[in-house]
Amino acid sequence: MSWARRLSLLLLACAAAARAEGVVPARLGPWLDASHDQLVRRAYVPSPEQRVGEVRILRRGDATVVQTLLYSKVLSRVVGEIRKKELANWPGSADAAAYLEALVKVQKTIWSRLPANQRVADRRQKLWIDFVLAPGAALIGIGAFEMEEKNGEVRVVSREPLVILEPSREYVERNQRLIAADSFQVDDAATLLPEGRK
Amino acid sequence: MTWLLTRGRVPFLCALLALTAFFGFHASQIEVERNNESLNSREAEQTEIYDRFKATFGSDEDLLLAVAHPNLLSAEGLALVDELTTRIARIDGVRRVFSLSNAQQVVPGESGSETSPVVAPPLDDPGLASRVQAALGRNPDLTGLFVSADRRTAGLLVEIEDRPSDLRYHAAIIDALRAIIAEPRTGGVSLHLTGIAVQKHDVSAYIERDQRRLIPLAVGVLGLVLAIFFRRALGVLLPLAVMGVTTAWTLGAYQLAGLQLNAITGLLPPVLMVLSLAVSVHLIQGWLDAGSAAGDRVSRMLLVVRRLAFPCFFCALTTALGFSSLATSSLPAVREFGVFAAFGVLLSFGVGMTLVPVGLSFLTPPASAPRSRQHRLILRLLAASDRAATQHPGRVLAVFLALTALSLAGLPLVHNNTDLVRFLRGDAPLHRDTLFIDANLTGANTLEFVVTRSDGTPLTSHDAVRRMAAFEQATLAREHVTGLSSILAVLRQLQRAESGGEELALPANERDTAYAFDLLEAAPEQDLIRKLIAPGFTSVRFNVRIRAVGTAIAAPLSDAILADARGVFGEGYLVSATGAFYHVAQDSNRLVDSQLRSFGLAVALVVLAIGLLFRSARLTFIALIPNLMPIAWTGGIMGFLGIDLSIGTAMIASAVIGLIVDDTIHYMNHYTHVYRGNPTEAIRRTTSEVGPALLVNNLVLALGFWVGCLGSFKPTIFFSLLSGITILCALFCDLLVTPACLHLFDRRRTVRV
Repeated sequence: MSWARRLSLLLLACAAAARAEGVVPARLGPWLDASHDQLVRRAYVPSPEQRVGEVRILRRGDATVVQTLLYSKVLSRVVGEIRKKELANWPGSADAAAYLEALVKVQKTIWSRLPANQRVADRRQKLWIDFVLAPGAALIGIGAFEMEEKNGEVRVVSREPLVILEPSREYVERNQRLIAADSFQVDDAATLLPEGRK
Repeated sequence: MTWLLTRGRVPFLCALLALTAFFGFHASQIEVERNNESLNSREAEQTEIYDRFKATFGSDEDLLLAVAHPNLLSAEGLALVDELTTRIARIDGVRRVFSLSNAQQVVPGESGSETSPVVAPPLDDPGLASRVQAALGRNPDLTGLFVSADRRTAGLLVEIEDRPSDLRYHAAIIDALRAIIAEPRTGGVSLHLTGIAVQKHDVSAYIERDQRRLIPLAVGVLGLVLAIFFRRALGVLLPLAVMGVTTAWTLGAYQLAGLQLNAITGLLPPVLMVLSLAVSVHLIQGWLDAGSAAGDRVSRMLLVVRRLAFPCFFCALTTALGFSSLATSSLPAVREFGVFAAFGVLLSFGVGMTLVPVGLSFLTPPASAPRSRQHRLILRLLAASDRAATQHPGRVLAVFLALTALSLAGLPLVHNNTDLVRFLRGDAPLHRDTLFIDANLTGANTLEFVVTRSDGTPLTSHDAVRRMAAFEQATLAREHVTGLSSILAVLRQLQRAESGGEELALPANERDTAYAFDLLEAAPEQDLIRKLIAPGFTSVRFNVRIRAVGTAIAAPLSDAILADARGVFGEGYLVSATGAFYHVAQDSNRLVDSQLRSFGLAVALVVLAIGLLFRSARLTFIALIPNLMPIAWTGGIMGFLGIDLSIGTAMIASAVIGLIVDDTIHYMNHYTHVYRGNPTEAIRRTTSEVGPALLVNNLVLALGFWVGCLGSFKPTIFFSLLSGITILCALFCDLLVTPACLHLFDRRRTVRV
């Protein structure tokens, strides 16, 4: 990586951290700090050949995180698919409604950041969603990110939280299982999640 | 020759019979071309562009079925469209059917834009008509191709599978569609079918029908004329035998060369029949006229053959040279016609010069030349012509030159126009249906334009889309253009649905444009999108629908649209025009140059042949005058009567020049033999001795050509009609202008001496 690129990524990360301060309450900060994440499992969605993102199961300290990284040129479509599934899984749920509202808001924010009258080489809009279940905390973080790709592997180089939600613990827990089951195509997602979370 | 007329007769006849059986068998195996391929020139660049177009966007030979219904948007009308769409989609070889009943519109959905049917079930919903009206109002692109502006005619676009190795499935599909069309319907409902594939199918069917109809008719007409003229069986049977052998051998060779009959070479059998008679007629007439002083059967026959072999060979040679000049044509069909007609003419000389003498050698010759009423009448007519030519040669020439000058004034009125639909008779289903669709739904012809970037990069920039829209606007403003299909219509619908607005508009900026293409890339219906834009968005198709006009309008129109495109897109883009109809228009454009070249070559070859025969510049010049005059007259007739120059009529000059010059050769050859310093006497003898054979020969030729007037295609009908007229005009010229010129130029030469 060139020095110039490293410097720009560093500046971006600093800027993102500065902005995140306004979104993330201090007590939730550690649960959204991805710097020491341990990857447990990963699946590409919808498939490795036609991927628009990936779902990762992570250990973040004592927390279990089901993280969705979306990097798609048609992010609104992907968000639309999430919306359909969410509404089917959580009919009439206030938590789900709040989550979907936040998701669309972040998608639109990311879209609005694309320059309107300038051609950009990488038009993929990058959005992350963390379902975090920690001792004493259950939260959803949604934001934008920058990434690097090497041999098809995606490495997140910076994250910008844009919305933090604190729904019910049951909502986060069940959604973690639903997302994992859907992404890894298993009936019982409990086997996928780290020990202690089954 | 003596051996042939004595001991060699039976072996010769056996060999001839065996060879005729062999070639006849192959002639019977000849097939009719199914795809009209030989009516297209194989210009390399054009072919390459078209092949690339088909590989990228698929075939442009979709069928269009129009459904006329007085209350189309009612439940009943839409149910009919739906039923037809379903039924036709089930026909083997049909890939898809697009119609109002399965048309989709792009609408705003929960996840952004999504597709929704224009005609959403249930069809018995009382509010259906108003819902569909509203959907059509919101999506004006559907009007034209899928529904008429007055909402009384629906269009079903039938996409056919591409099966290059199967030449018959198109016919099966069209027959199945025609069976559906023929089903009884009430209440003012009618169905109409058009499309390039239908044209090809119908042309093949008409060729087959013409073969069945014209060949027996030609045999009957020629046999009748021969019977009237000769009034004896041998005068009919021998020429018909020569005709049969020539036709069988030539068509057998045609089949062995791997060729199939097409709209032009479908004329070969009747034309060959006509051309193969000349030698027989001259030989039989010579044999009858020889008189008893000629000796025994063999001596008499040898005398006749020796006298006629040379002029007959030269006649056959010049006729063959005329036809062979068509080999320079850019159209394979015309080339094949020219080459095999020339082959047939030379073959007929060989067969005539052997079979007729052999046949006549079995018969006892008449003691004296026949004197029938017809002959006396003919002789009176000929005497009148020779009097006019010898007593008033200057006036005769002046009158004919004036007629020629008048005809030349009509030449600029001749338009180069190929109109595949109007080539058919007015009552032909394709003609009727195409004009109905053209008047009630949309333009029946399509021109295809393909735009790419010269550096091969995608056409997804806002600037590229803006240029596409400018091109679309310029094209739609052109007269005769009824509609245009392109990816722009999809982009507009996408933009409206994504923005949630009501107005159809293209993406307003670079980001929205790129996003629209990203949505297209991710859309599920890739097959449909691929018909409009190439994978990777590197080339885009503009399908321009135009009225059912001929190439006289279509060729300059396509050139103008192409010029518009090049102007709008500029240097960084490559624009090409293509498509089946564009090919026809371009071929038609090339036709005039091609035929002028053929005619020039034919005249040069004929002049060379006459020059070699007479070894006199004066006689060669005289021979040209009566042969160029009738061709100029025919051109004038075409101009004044509004007959277009097309694939058929453009062949007339080249084909006929070699034919009509035969009379001049016969006349002048006889004249030089009997000339003893007195041109008046030589002309009198020549006209009375050669004139009857010329009359009957030309009458046979003209009637034989006119048999083609009962064909199914106007180009071949006009070819037959005008060729016959040219032949008769040439006869008049030979009986009046040739002797007048011989008299005038001879007298002048004498005066000078």
